[in-house]
Amino acid sequence: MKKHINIIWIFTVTLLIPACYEPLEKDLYEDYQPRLVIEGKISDQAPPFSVKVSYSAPPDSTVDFIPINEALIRIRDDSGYVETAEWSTNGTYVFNNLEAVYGYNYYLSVQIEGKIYKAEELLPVPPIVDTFLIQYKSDAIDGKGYYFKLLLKNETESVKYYKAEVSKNDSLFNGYDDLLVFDDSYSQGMLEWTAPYAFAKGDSVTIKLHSLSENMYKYYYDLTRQTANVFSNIQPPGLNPENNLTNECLGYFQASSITRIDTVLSNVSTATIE
Amino acid sequence: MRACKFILIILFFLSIPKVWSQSDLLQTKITILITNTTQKDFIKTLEKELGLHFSYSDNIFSDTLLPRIEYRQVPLNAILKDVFEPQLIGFRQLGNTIVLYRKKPTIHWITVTGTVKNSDNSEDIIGAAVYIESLKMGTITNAYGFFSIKVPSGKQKISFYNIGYEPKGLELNFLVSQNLTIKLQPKDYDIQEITVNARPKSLFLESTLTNLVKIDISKLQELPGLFGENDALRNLSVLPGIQTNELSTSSINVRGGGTDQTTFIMDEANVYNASHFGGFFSIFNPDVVNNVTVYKGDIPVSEGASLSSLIDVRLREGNNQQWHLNGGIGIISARGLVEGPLKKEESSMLLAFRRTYVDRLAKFFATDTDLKNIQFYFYDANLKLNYKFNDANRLFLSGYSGSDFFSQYQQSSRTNHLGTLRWNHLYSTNLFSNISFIASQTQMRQGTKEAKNLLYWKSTVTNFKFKSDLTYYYTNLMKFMFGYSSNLFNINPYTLISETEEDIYTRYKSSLEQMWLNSFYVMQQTNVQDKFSIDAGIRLTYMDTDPFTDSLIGIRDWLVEPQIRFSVAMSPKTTVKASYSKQVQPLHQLPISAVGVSTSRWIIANEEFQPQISENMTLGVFYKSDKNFSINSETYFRTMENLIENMQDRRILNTEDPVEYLYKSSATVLGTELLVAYQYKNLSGMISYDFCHPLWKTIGLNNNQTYPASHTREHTINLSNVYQINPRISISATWVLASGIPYTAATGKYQVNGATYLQFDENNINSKKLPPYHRLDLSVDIASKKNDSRKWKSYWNFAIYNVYFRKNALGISYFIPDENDILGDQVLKPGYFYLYQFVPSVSYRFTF
Repeated sequence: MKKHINIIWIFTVTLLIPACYEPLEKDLYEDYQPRLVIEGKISDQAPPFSVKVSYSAPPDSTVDFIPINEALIRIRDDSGYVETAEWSTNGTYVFNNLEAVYGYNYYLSVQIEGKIYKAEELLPVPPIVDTFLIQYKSDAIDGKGYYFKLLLKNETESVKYYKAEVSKNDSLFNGYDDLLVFDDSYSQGMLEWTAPYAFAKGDSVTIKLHSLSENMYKYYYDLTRQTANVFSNIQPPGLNPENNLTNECLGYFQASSITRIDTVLSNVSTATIE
Repeated sequence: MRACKFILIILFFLSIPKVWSQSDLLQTKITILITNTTQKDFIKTLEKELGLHFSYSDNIFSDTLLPRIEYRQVPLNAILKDVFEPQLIGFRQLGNTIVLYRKKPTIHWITVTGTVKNSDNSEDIIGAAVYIESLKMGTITNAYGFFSIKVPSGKQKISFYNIGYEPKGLELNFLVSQNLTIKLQPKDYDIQEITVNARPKSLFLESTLTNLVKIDISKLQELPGLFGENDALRNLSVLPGIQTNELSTSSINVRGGGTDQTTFIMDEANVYNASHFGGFFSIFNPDVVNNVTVYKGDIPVSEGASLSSLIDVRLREGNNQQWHLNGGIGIISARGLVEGPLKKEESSMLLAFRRTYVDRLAKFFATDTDLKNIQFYFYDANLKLNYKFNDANRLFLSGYSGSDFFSQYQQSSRTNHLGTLRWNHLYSTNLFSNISFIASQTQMRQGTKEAKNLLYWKSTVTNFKFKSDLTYYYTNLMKFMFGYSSNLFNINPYTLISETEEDIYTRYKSSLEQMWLNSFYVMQQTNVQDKFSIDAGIRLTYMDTDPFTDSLIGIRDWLVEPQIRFSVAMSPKTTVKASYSKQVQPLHQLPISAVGVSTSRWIIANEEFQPQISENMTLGVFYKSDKNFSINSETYFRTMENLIENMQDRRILNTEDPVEYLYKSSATVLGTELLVAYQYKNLSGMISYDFCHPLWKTIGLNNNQTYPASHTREHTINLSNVYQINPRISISATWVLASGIPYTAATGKYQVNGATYLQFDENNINSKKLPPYHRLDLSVDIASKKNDSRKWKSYWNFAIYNVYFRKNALGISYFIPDENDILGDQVLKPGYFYLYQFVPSVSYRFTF
């Protein structure tokens, strides 16, 4: 997305027309309507896993959320395993013992003030990284440097969905418009994907590649509509991303499997893939 | 001196007694010599000498002396017939009396056909009024400048009028059918005539047409333009009922309808994407456009298949008198045109080309590598050829190719190719035919480029059309239009291709979507002596969305589009009009992105998403004073069914079944338009007011309640004026004031995925409006000094768009780049964005 915005800006500057922006914060907000937000993530990695429960905050307030500290949160899977989350910190609850299994469905239940909110997700198998390449590019839209290219294999008939988190020297790159969600439609079983960042020698790079459900892939895609709308109003339908939670709350429940790549760029580069 | 009058009776022979019998009075044979007498005296002598009784009014006779003639034993009725018939005096025996009376003249009608052309460049003039003074009625030229009208034989005055031209009156003696070629001289700028504003005597002809707007393109070129480019479509927004988007000139909303409900045709070919540079300009080169007609609802039954409006662009054919070279340069693009006769008066050609040059300048002057590597441009190329075999046969060929292209590390392009072959044939003086073969294709392409390898998707819409249109000029009161068309649509929504130096490989190709429309229509127009007119017609279309297989998936159904229009002249200056029409659009356009290279997906109606239907009712009043002042007012109500709202999501492009992104909608629109046009000495202008209230209702949104449409400003006032300082210099000004665009407010914020996002009030969609929009544009147009010995003429135009720096909100952004973030990430900081604050421009055009 950043690339797209850059292109738009270059485009407009070259046309000698500065696209201008006027803050109008208060007028763009309507009366505050608190809504419940549930954000739960589990994966095939070792626990703990957290679920954050909050109310949305007034749009012009100094805080971004209002934590809920009296929620009852449970998770169970197809084998009958059940665990109740423990409250940890402001609005955050953790499952300390859950060990998620590929192919199992996981059922989240959140009870707040007598009302129950539910979600269900299947834990997919992890991404299969067939090949991992590091290429130097002197002329690329994201700048000169080293680029990480992954070849992802899919031996099934169905489409696979991914989300990448890229860190450099332990600092996460991904921003609003870099959610890095993608799928392998039309790739005929072997998808080429290049992380859109240029790295330099000496950088320590980590790529955490999640396998997602189609629900979560759509959720993240819809989330980018807020940040990606340039030069036009965000239009209905789909103003708030559609999610996999019941009873019209915001947020999501994600069950993902992770393949992790760690590498340090040096004269002889090696990488570990887990 | 009284004429000597006497009849010499040489011999008077009666074979019967002098008492005339009733039965054979007129059969009585007499011998008589007539010389030097009038009709009346002739009768008196017959009465006196022969004892006949005649009854008559004195005023039926003329004082003309009868010619000398002798009759011997000729029946009386033969003599009376011989004497009186040329004077249109009849006779009849009643008892013993012969009654003489004035007969109604037997009119001998002559059919006059012809074409009306521009005297400067021989272009056909579409919609010119042809008026017969004695009959107080007339007709209008068709899309090829052709007219057919019946006139009484003898001397008649026939007048010709059109917007932007000096009227012409001819007094001709019509004895036999004839074919005329009329040339009208273009006149100086008169903004009053931007509306359908007929000449006083042919007021009724054009004012009968509700919802119709005819644009004089040459005059719109003198209005202030953006970047010095007087785009044919951008300036349409001066007219009530038509709203254009400042970002996208071809995003036109007519009477509350969505942008996907406006159909563009260019020389009869459908244009699926009519904009360049994401909508900054339209594809219509102003030098090539001859005529633009905008139908606001009441789509002609000869076209159909469009829900809200039809924009019919007719291009010039080329000067068949002389060779000319035209050109122009603005701050964005340069253009050139060459036209001339291949065979004088019979055949001409026109070749025009336009391209942006900003990318070339950026490449030359920029120091940044990124800017140097960028390619972006658009071009348009038009080729026209025509040949007149004889007065009854003309052949036209029209071709267009245009493209938008952007390339850096990503590539985007969109191309249009259109071709039309048309044959005009005159079967008789009152039966005109046009047969057209049309092909058009729009292709969008986007992808990435790495070294010499490309990975891109493309989407293509192709249309093949055969049309046959006949116009039968039955009488001067009535004409019929009927025809048939066959229209095949092929849509390839998504093909993914990887291209290397050695190979091109199709990774994926979605299923071909096809639709075949076969249509018949009939329309009659009746116009009763500037008092009353009625137009009624119907279009029947057989739709087959799976035409070449036996599958049960496709829809096979009849689409019916009736329409009717009435006009009544309440006085010589005032006309009241009303209309009803039903339109059906079986092709849905799903806009995905309007910025950059605009993208949309077309889908054919199916069982789930049926063809869109609109019903439109209009009531209007038109008044024109004697003092160069007119008022046109219309109120309308529209209903629309089977609409689609889509999420503007790029995934719609590459999915086999976009249903999950689509929502079913319906809408109603209530509106009023007022247009006042005036002229005072050297000042011409108009004021328009437009109230438009479209309410949308989408299943699953806003609690299934109605909400204001996202695309329409509710109130718009527009003032446009032109002042001719002297024959060379004119200044013009346009001022617009409009309501802000509706939007949905944010009612909270929350955190997910480590970032803060806004929550929107989906139960009150579009309940708020951005700040009002207003701006002032000024321009000066200066023509070179008149020099009759020099063919070269040039014009400078200096313009300022948005003179007082108004920051007009065009839309809302919630996230902007964070200046403090090294990675250039965004930060939540809502506000509105605006463009085009004080944009000066200079442009130069020439003709040779």
